[in-house]
This record gives sequence, structure tokens and C-alpha cells, in this order.
Amino acid sequence: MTNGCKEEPIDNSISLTSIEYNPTEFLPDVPEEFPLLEIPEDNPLTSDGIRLGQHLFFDPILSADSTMSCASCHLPEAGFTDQLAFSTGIDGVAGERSSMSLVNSGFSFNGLFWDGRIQSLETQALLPVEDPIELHHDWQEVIPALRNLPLYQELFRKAFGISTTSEITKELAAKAIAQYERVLISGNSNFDKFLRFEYFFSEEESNGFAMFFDKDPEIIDAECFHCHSASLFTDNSFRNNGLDEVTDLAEFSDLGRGAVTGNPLDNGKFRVPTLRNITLTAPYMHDGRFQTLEEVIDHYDSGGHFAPNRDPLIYELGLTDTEKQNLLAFLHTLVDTSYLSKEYITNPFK
Amino acid sequence: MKMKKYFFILMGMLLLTSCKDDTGDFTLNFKALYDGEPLVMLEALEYTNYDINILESDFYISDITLIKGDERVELAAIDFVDFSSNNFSIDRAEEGIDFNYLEVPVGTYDGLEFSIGVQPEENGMLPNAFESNNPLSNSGNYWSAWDSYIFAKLAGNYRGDDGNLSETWFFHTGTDPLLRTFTVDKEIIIDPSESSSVSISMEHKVLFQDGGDYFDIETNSINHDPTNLAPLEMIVNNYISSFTFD
Repeated sequence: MTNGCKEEPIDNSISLTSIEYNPTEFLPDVPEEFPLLEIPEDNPLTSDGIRLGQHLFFDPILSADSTMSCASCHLPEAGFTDQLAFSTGIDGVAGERSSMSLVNSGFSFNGLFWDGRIQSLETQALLPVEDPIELHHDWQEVIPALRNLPLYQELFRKAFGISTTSEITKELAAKAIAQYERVLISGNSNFDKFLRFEYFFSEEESNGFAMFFDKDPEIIDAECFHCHSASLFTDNSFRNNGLDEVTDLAEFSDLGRGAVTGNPLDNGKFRVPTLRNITLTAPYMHDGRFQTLEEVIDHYDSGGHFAPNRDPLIYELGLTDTEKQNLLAFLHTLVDTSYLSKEYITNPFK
Repeated sequence: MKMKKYFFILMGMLLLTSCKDDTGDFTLNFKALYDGEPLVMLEALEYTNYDINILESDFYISDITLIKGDERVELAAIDFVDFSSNNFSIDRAEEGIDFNYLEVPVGTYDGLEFSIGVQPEENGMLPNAFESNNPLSNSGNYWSAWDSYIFAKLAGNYRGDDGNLSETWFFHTGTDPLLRTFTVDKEIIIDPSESSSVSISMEHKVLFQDGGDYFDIETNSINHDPTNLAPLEMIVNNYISSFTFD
């Protein structure tokens, strides 16, 4: 039995108007050869927005037991992957696919994740917090925790100009994380320097470059560039690259893109990942089945396994050992760790 | 005050009506056929003395224009006909792919014209010059070795020694000399009261016609050689004869 008095909701919100709000547009350093970086009108890049996103990205407060953050599966020094075949969440449960590199994810206009099931970084950023095999938390608990911390009161105010802590929401948190992810731009590898005449390829690298891009009719075409097209080294498409042998498209153990689109021709297709920083992101493929780049090259050289929708560009190449080495040498030119020196990218709690 | 309000509402309605009277909608539909039947990707197809299937058939169309005497009304600068994604079932194949062009100036047009491929000006540009909603932003359709977009992709499998449709064939066309233009020589009426349309069927078997015979896919299964344009020239010319319209 209630006492008949209606309880008034307690307003715990704190005014933030004493904190200065002076947003500064952030102009990312996008290499000339890159596509246009399309920024949603309702989430413009600001220095303070990125700073908030950076803190949230590295803060284990987003996980139920405060042991993991976004960065646990997307380590900056590992090309924003975790170098595992299957990422493991706070409960020790492994996921079904490996974590994808976040490098240049702001240019992914064709869906995110291996199967492209999510369209925007803003939507994606909401998911890992409540995913039972990732951070396994609840936004309804995360948000009050953020509202209580002076650090986040200040960061949210500066990022979004909110007036009280009650205006801190998961949507704003996701927007900030998306802003941070959008500026994880890598475009300063030896390959990029070569384009700017600041670096000269060795003979091996040069031959690998010609093989990769089919630049020289005298040198064998390794067919790489069709899917891993410059300058992102992905065309953001979904393809079956011959990983699994099936005679019927329904037989794939992981339907990949097909589970999203419902189009059987998409079964067994996965997103073409970027090759930027590829030497840092082993193991390879959506299930981490290849431990080394040598294994990856051998796979493509063999033509992979037959499936009715195996990409036509996957066929037996007949590469020599020298040609494989040349290709490998070229792939090493795609490494760029210069972003690790950028203050707005690295772990702000260190 | 009230009269003034009604006056503005009336004027607004008149303006809307007059805009609508000046324009109408037009739909261009593409259907893929093989031997007269709707083409479903990966279905076994009788070719010459062996079978093939088709896994990819897509191509750019550019400068899509209605023609009335010397007057040209551009409907779109570029579009991408993607049978590869669309034709996964008989229903989808029968339906085809629609391109809807809205607010086209009313009139009776002599016909429609479009090119198969990318116009030289755009073909001289890189995918990074285009916004992501433009089909030309797809870097996977750009061939840097050719300094050209891939105008059309055709790919599939042919029956190999193992008796399965397991051997790959593919042809990619591109470069300015291989741009071809198709004309729909048919009266097209754009009327504000009803949407008009033209349906174009593309007979894929015709694409491989080589004189009175068919191109031997088995012995020339892949063409990536920019110095050997002859087979590609044959295919791009065949695109024109593969089209019928109603």
C-alpha cells in the first residue's frame, strides 16, 4: 500500500553553463588522393567533440566490469585491431569474427563491420557497449556514471554545449566516438611518400607495385587492385575471395553479407578490408585463418577454393617465389604509424 | 489579415500546380536476357558446345538524354546498371532495374540516347573526385593502369574438365575509344498526368557474337591486356546490338 503521496522525480542534474563552450571546427588532414570525407550535418567535427570521443574510446567505464574499452579490441599500435582471430569480450566469450581495423573507417560509405550491417559510425558506436560478447554493459548504467564524473561533465559541455548533465545521452556519446573514429586517418606510408616523390621504391617494392596495380604488361598481374584499390586499398565492396569450398550457396557456415541482404549471391561474401597497415593486423581474413601475409599470398596465388560466387578475379595466378616476395615487399610499404604521434589519437589517460 | 492569408495559400497552390504541369516523370527500365529468357545469375546457360554461367554483368550508362529535334534534355549524367546484384531470382530478373527520372520537362520527344561507359571528361577524373552517392566514386570500377573506368564487367564460369561450372571467365571493357552510344528511336511522351517509361532488354548471348559464330570463352577466358583491345571492341559493339526496347 502506498502512502498516497506521489513521489516527485529528483532532479539530480547539474548546471554546466559555467564551463566555457567554444567549439572549434576540426579540419582533418586528408591526403589529396583520398576520397572526400563526408561528415554528417548533425555531427560536425570539432576539436572538443573528438577529444570527448577519444576519452570514451579509451575509457573502460563503458564495460560492465570496467576492464575493457573500445581500444581493447582496437589497439592503435596494431592498426586499430587486436591481432586476434576472434575478439574476446569481458566475459571471456569470443566473437565470431575478428575485429576490423578502424583506420580510415570514416571513408567507409558502404556499411561497417565485415558484413556491412551498419551504415554509419554514429550507429555503430552504440553497439559494443551492450553487446553481450563485447563490453556487456547497459547504456542506462553508463550514462549516469558519465554524468557523475566532472571530467565528462566538462568534456560533454565543451563538445556539445549542453546546459545540464541530464543532457548527456548515449546518442551524444556515440556521436563523439564517431567523430574520433572519423579522424583516424592513415595516409603517410612509404607508398604515399612515393606518390609525393619523397620515397623511392626498392626494386622488389617496385616490382610488387607493378604486380599489385597491373602497371606493366611485362610483369604478371596479381589482380590485387580491383578490390584493394588505391588510395584506401579497399573498394568497400563485399566479395567471396575463395576461402571456403561449397557447391551450394546455402552451405557457407558464415553467410556474411548474405545474412544482411538476403541475397543468396551475397552468401559467403565479406567486406574487403583495407591493406593499409596490413603488416600490423595479423591474423588475416574475417576469421583470422591466415597467420601470415605469406599464407595470404599463397591463398590468392592458388585461386582459392571453388564456390559458385567466388569472385571471378580469384583464379590461379602461378606466381614464382620471387614474385611473391616482391608483392610482400610492396605490402610492407603500406605501413604508417605516424598517427601514433598525434595527441588527439593516442590514449589520453596515459 | 485573413484574406491576405488565403491569397498566399491560393498563390502557393497555383504555383505548385503550374510547376507540376510543366514536368512529368520518366522511368528507364533494364532487363537482362539470355537466349530470350530472363537472366538469373549463376544459372547454367547453354553456350556453344559447352555451358557457362554469368556471375557479373554491370555497366555504366552516361549522358542519358531525351532528344527532341536539336533539343536535348539530360536526365542524368551517369548511372550504373547492376544486374550482378539485382538478378538473383527469376522475379527480380523479370522485374529488371528501374531508373526513375523526376520532373522531366513535358513534351513529345523523338527518342532517348545514352552511352555505355563513361564520357571522356569524367573518365579523365579519379573516383576521389566524386561524392560517395555518385556511381563514379566506386574505386573498384577504376583501372589505374588504363587511366580509365571499367565501363562494363562481364564474368562467370564455364564448364571445366571436372564437369562443373568452375572455370572463371571475365571481360572488362574501358578506355575512351570503347565508349558506345545507343539510341532509342521511339516517340516518348512526357505527360504530367502519367509516368512514361521505356524498357530496354539486353540479350547477353549477343554480347559474344563473333561474326556468324560465338567467341570462344574457353580459350580466351580472361582479357586484361590493354594492348589487345580487339576482343573487347567486339564486345562493346555487341552491346549496341544486344539492346532491344519497347
